[in-house]
Amino acid sequence: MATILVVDDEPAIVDILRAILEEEGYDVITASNGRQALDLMAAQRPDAAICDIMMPVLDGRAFCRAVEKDPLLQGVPIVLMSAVQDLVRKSDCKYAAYIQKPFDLDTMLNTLARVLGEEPGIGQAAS
Amino acid sequence: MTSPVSQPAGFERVPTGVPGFDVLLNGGFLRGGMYLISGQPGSGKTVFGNQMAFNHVANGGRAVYVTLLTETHARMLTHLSAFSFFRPEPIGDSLYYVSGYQMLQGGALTALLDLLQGVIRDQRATLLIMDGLAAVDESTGSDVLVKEFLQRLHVYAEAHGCTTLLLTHSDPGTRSRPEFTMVDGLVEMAARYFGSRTITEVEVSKLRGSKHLRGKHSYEITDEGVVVHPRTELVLRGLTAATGQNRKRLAFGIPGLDQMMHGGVLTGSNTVLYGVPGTGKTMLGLHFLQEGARNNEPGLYFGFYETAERLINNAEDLGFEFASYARKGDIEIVWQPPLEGNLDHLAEQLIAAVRRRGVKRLFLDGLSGFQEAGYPERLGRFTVALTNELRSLGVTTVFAVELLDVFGQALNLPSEGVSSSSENIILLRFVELHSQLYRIISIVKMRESSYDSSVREFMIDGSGIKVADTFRSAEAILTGVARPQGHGQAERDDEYARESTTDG
Repeated sequence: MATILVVDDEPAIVDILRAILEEEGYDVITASNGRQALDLMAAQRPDAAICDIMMPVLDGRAFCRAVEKDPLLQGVPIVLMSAVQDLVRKSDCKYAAYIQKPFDLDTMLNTLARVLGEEPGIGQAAS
Repeated sequence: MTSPVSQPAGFERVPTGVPGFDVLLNGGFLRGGMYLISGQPGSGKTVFGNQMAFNHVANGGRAVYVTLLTETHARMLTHLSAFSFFRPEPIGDSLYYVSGYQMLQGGALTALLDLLQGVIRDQRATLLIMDGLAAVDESTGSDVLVKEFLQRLHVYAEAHGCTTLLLTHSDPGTRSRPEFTMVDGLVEMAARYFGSRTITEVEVSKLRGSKHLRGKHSYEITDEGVVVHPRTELVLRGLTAATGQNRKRLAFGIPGLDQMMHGGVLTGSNTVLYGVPGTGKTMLGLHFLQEGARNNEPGLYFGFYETAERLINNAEDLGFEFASYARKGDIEIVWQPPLEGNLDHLAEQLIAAVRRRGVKRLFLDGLSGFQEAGYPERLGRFTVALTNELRSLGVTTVFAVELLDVFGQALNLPSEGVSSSSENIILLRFVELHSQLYRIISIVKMRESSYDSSVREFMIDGSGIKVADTFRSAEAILTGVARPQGHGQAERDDEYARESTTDG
């Protein structure tokens, strides 16, 4: 089964996503900021990442750019999450899809299923 | 030419932008200071913190909002989007939200301190708000560690020119927690109960390095966010009373009454109309405004029971010109239903309405709206402050105050600051004779002015208000010689003359 990396500084979000995804049969690894996530990915390349934008240390946009630059990580599809849609519109990074917080379960799972079968593109919205 | 005087860095103010609150702080928090906002759940701490953050970035600052075990950022932003201060544009740029809760797991405050120092540095924050400080207390259980954490955070933030707000839950009156001694200022938000009604109050109980308005001040959470209403007695300081030779007399436009007052009330004075319901206080007040409008003096009606429409209709029924002046805007009608009013907010609205149009004549129709606004113990001082301010603004005010004893002989005039701070008192009464009610008017006091102290009959009918030219008809009524319906003032005067002759 696919391994999903969940990156968010809010433990409540991480916990709920872990529970949902594990119930769907995914393996889940978690990080609380972009730096931690990159360290994790160096050891274990996930099949996809779900990542918040506003985080301390290294935010979601910087994380996307770092993944794109790293030859070993390029191609990992990233689903960005934010409560503020403008944050995604203004970002210059590559991501596979975008989820508006607060998200509903079906949207999250459908989006994830879709990006796991797609190459990442620029500015593709989840809807 | 004057040059701007710059303040020392330590005294630079950081305004909160929360309406009314910066008045309490004398301009704002001190830059680089650390402040604690405490209150019960639902008191509005999170709204306050976010409101300040949005205002701060709107004025060129950079803010970081750190949550510790509060609602998720998504839910919080969804709730905040209903407020007028909310803007999505700065979020993620000059206004950054992060969670620090995971750093507390395991009780290591150093990890949280590292995170906070990191976001201050990386985001170049000039304002840090940490929401949920109680979680820090609970994670360590050590007062010493909490104090050490706060001191290090304070030193770091101050060195970066960053002002820090700590938001925490606390029960009312709790002032013994370690953080209370560490911070530069304490702000407490609490609820106070009047029967089934709740009034929310904020108090700045400590503010190092700055004077501030002490005591409790009411606040509301509106579409604008938190709105503080500083206590009227502290903010209205209109001490310059209208005095001197230039004061003229303002007539009511009722010849008999103006004659009794030797031309009218003096400009800048306060006049109280005391009377039981139905004696005609409101109509007399409207006549006062109408007479002002005739002389191009902007008027304001401020009342609690009559809507503008009802007021205008009633005035029209009595043949008053008030209605046409109100429709033209020469007289403004401000109506506040006396339901859940806020005493200081009412004063703010009143003074704002006066200033907006340069009002010269004010009729305050009933004080009950103020009396029912929840602070009976303050009403005397409040009224004195309000009337002083109106005086200093050059407003001539007439208050209608309701008496309850319809036919009683004893006069118990409510004091509460109104009587003592008013120059003039006019009394309206009913007298019952031969199954008929008669209205009687008298002047009880006119400070700095001569007046006719006789009692006069006072009539309201479809042609307006009349006050008898002489005391005779009133005396006839009071001595029991008046005729019932069908007999007017002239007949009563004749009757009185005959009785007097016979007696003599």
